[in-house]
Amino acid sequence: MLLELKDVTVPTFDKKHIIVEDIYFGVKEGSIHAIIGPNGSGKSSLAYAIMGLPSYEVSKGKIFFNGKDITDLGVTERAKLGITLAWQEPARIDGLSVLKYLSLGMKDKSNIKEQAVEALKIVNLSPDRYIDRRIDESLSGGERKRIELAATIAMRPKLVMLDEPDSGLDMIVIEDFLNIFNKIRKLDMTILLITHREDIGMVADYGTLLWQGKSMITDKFPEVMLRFCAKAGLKEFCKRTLFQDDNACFGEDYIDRIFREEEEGRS
Amino acid sequence: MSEKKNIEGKYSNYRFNAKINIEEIQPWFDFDRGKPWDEREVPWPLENKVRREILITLANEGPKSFKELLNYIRFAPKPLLIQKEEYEPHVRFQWSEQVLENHLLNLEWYNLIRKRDNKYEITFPVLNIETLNSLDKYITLFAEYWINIIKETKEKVQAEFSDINKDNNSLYQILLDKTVDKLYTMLKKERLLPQEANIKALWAEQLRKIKFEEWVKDNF
Amino acid sequence: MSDEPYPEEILESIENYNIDINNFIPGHGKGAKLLLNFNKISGLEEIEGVILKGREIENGIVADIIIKEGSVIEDPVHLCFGVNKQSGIQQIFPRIIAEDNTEVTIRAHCSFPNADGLIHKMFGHFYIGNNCKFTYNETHYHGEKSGALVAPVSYMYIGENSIYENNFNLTQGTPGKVKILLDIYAMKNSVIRSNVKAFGKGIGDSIRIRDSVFLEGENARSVIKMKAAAKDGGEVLMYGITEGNSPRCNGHVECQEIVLGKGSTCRARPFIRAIDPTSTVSHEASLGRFPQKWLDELQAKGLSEEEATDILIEAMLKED
Repeated sequence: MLLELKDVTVPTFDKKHIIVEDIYFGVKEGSIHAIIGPNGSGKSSLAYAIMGLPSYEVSKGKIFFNGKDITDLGVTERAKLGITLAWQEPARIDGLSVLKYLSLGMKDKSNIKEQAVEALKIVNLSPDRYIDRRIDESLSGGERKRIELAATIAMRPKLVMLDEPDSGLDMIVIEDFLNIFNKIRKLDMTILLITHREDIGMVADYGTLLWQGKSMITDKFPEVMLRFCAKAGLKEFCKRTLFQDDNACFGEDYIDRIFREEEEGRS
Repeated sequence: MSEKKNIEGKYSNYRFNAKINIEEIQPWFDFDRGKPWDEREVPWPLENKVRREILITLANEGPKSFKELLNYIRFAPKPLLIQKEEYEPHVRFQWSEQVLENHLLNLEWYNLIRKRDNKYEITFPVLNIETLNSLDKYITLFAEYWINIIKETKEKVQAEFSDINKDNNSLYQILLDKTVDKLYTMLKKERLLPQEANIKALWAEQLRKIKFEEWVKDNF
Repeated sequence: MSDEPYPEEILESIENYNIDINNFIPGHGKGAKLLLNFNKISGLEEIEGVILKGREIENGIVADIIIKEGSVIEDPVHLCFGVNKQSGIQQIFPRIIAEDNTEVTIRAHCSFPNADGLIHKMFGHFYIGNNCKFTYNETHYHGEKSGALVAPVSYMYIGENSIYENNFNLTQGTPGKVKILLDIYAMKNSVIRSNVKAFGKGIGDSIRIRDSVFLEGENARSVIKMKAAAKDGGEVLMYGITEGNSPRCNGHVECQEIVLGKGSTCRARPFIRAIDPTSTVSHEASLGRFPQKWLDELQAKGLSEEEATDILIEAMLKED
């Protein structure tokens, strides 16, 4: 496993509440692993805790990266080991150019422009139009997210966490982003995909379901999604997505059985 | 306009104790002499030159109606060195009635001007050069009396307060400040000053007659 | 006028701001020029549409700059006020009049490369007529010893329908003691943009800037942006005044100040006032560190907090 979380608990900054508790899962190297769950289940906070952000300290449990215990390491150290995060809403920093921003995480600074051009092409942004622009208010949300992705690609990290990459984007753009994820995977990067959208998660190989701050199941993505739909009562959606004639993940009987079990568990 | 009541209390010294220069002279704020803008001595309405011009106009020209003031609050700048024969630029700035009214209402609110018989006038005394010269002999007289008593008591004071006068600097500044406060209290008892919580007055002085442009003209 | 060549030392600092020196040198480049070395006029070149007149005084200069009505001046007017000496007092009295329907950019540079006890004072008036587009870019360099005392005061009047942009940059070298006062009076339908950037790098540096916009005409609009950093005992005070005195005017002040190292002080004093019921004025100030999110983002790319802060300061104070 590239990344392992063992009984990780993350409280709020003031330590008054628990955001996520006893999280236990692993991420296989080279895979796309989705963390799914409804709004407020603690998905983004978990990503921040894995990244080591100061306001999301682990109070219990351990995080391992490539076999090394990184629980007590800071953001910078974790980034240098090969972990990075592409923010849901990346900041706009007046005065910082796209080229400079992309170069920040590059390991090899000898050919910055070439690497930046390559990264921009992967995210389908024209290098001529964007390389000299500033990452300020003039960029649309979609453009800013692509530049954020390009910056993570330029870093060539081992693990890239994508925090709700689909938020604020329309359907046409989302399709494009799904293609970009596959390109990223081909660059030997492991992706941890944070999303509350099941259709986005379908690109993943594996998944972990977060529900009310706890990890409920980690398995191949369709199984995780089925469990999520069962918990959320989304039977029709589930059947539409997972039971599609030629590409059915599960039989309809299996889906009905899981939903029944979940209902019985609730009552 | 109704009189505002002075309210006793911690903030009763809100009223201005600033002087206003009614002639524009010093082009910047000398580090060793002038009052620096960043120490907030000037009451805020006077940070705006238009309002200062209104006060200067009323001080110099006497009470004015709104229409008359409108004619004063305008100007056409001239170059410093280039003569009319060489080139005469045509730029003009005129303030609108609405904006002038806003400024006048602001000055009225702070009791810096009032309206009487449809004319605006300033509410504080303006001391011209002649008055200032006449006042000067009394200012000197008061100071000389103080100097005498300070000299007489110098040794006694220094002996008694040597620990707070180590740098030979702080003690007399503290004494003088406190003396002024005491003076106000005693003058009120003598009925030489009114019994008010806030006694510090606003006034304007004509400091220098030479304007900047005249200085340039004289020197070139 | 002086026959001596203009000291290279004064001009060199211009390159720190990525500006081409050539345009400042008499006989080279393009555009009207006025160069002053202490109290000697070292160069004065007029072009069509621009009248320049300077007169040397005991310790400085009085100067008129007139942009004639209707002129569209394509090349910037270059002004360089420098002092090569370590100490002394230089006083500058410029008066700039741009008549109606003119377009011009003024590029001014004040350079005191050896300042160690040097005092520079300026008292300037800018009168911009109606329907003008006037840009004033000013850069400063005060040497590396925090030895300058610089106090420019400018009163500006911007006529109806005119656009005025002011860019002031004091980010190279060590500023010393700097006190800047800028009062702008904006008439009907005018647009004011003022950008001030300053960096106090040590205990000898104190930067105090008062940038005021008085909105005196209907529909006048303004944005003042002040950005500064104080490092290792430096001090910055930004005093931004915006007054909404006219119908439907709109003004905004933004202060961003970053404190670095021990003993540094940043202060912002926003004063926004409205005496017209239809005016809108607003203010934003942030002092201290950069937003944690910005630092997190850069650190997640492998930068240390210090490296991330340096990058952000460089971006914040960069010439636009």
